[in-house]
Amino acid sequence: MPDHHDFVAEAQHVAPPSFAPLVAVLGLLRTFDWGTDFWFDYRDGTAMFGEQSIQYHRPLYVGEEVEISAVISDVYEKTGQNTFDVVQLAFTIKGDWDGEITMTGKQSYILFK
Amino acid sequence: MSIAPNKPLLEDLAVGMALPTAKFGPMDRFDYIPIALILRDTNPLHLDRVYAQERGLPDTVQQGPLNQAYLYQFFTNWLHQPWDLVSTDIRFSANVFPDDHLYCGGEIEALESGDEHDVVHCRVWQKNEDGTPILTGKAAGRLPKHR
Repeated sequence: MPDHHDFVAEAQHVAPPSFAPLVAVLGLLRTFDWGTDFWFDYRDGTAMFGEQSIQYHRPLYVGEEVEISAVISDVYEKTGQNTFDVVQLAFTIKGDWDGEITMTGKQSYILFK
Repeated sequence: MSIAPNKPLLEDLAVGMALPTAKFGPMDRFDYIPIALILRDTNPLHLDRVYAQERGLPDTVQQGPLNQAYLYQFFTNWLHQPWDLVSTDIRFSANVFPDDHLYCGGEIEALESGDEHDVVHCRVWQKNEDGTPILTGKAAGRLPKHR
């Protein structure tokens, strides 16, 4: 097991945690296709965030590659002022420095069609 | 309500203390371009004002992760090290638009003593200048046992 401090010295610094939601969303947007998976098209619909929860297991290091896997945990229709679809995903993000999990979490998207 | 000191130890804190607030802004529509590129996110809502207005919105909408980034910056600046962050649980309540200012704050909900480190659990929020909640939720961070 490499020592975190050695790696930090090599990499100069860790990525700030404010970058974490960007990494999560970047990964999630590449795990599914709005059109083929959800019949969603920006021409007549709008997608927005609902909720996001993340557990942070270790820092993200500058220069490392991450592997993101996600599953769709639930899809349902909800009616408030408008009727919309809710898509819930659960994700795991691993870093290639040690192969360990850096973040796990859940994210929901709201689709207005 | 008392204000929690920066980079505290567990003994400096009490449930109900407010976190030191932070203000960010004004938001800049040109910042949305690199975020769209980083995310490879083609949602026109973030870059096309006409598209946004056709959907009843006043202007382009700032990306949610960028709103979060400001809230995380506020919370982790208060902790000893940025990656003392343990967990976040955030609800997106309203949109942010260009020229908005964002105000971040929070309150200590629980304190947890551990063998190697302690953990502070907080309610956190982000509001715009009108006081409309943008993000609401919880954040937890590790606290060292000694300075």
